Amino acid sequence: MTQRQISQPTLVLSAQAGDVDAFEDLYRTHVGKVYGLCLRMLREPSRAEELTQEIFVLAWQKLGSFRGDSAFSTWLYRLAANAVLGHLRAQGRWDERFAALGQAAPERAGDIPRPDRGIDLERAIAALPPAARMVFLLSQVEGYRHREIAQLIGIAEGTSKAHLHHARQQLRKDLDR
Amino acid sequence: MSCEEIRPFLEAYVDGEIAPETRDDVTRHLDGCVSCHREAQSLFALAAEARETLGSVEPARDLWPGVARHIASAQRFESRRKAHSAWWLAAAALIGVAVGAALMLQRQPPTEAVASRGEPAASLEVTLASWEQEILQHRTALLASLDRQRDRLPAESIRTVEENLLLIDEAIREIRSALAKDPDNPKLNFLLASAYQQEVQLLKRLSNV
Repeated sequence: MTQRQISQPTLVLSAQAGDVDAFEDLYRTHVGKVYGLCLRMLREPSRAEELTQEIFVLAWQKLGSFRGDSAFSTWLYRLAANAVLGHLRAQGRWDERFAALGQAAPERAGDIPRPDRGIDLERAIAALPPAARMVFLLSQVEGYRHREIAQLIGIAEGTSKAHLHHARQQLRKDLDR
Repeated sequence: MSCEEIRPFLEAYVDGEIAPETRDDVTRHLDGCVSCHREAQSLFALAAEARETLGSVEPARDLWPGVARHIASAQRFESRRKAHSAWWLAAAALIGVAVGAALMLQRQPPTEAVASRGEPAASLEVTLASWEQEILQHRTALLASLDRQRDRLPAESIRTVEENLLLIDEAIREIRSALAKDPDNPKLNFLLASAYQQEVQLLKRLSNV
């Protein structure tokens, strides 16, 4: 579908006024990032698709609360990260104790494709514990600061640094670097 | 600074989350240390690869139709809710006038009230205040009775009644909110009386099941 050449703030305002077409344009601009986060965190394409849809429906419902204090993409990504966390918690895949301590949490057996040496980064990321994976994605891919990550996922700033450190160590080991 | 002193700062250096004075120390050290320089380069390379390869992923199918369906459904629900609320208030206004007036006439004919006090405008509020408490007591007793009979009543009936009670409670809240702004408005007082009356009648009907 062809996207209209309208600025993002205008699209947001139109969507806030109930323009579903404007919201579809916003959806098409941002769906890749949101789905990417869902897929990498959940590792199940069908569930990631469902959660992506839920996130955009939620975004539509909450559009009125977006005041433009940050970029729309930041607001949306924050909404997505919270939804992913909620989903992992509901599934028992987000261990609060390990997340809070900055340690690797065990996942269900069979979920983790343990990487061989030299495999690609995507698979190595998938093998990280959820908290470390989340912090790595938010920090290294999305450019969030540790302070922001700490607020977003409810951990201490030092814990966010610890998760990132563990993620880097594990990735470099798995990628043989 | 030595390598041992520099290494703990390398990640913060790569992430740009390091104090300016420390950053300068690290930069100077990296300029002269091959080993630490290689370590920093490796961290930079990992971050660059992550940004390059872990960005957007397009879903295998178009997810928009599903999102649009949910939005349309939510919009339909919202418009029904608003229409229902508007209908209820309109109905309550009509019934309220009739029921409120009938109750007033039954308990205290306006002509007598006017004759006895000589204050025609005050009669409605005084009457409402006098039997509002009575209605509330009646309501409490009926709710308790409903609770006692819960086991023998059909679950569907209880659910319907509870949904209707919630609607009436919502209307009472709305009317009370309007009354707080305009306490002397006789129509709002009639509406409030009507809402209570509706609730009592609903509970009475159920207690007779």
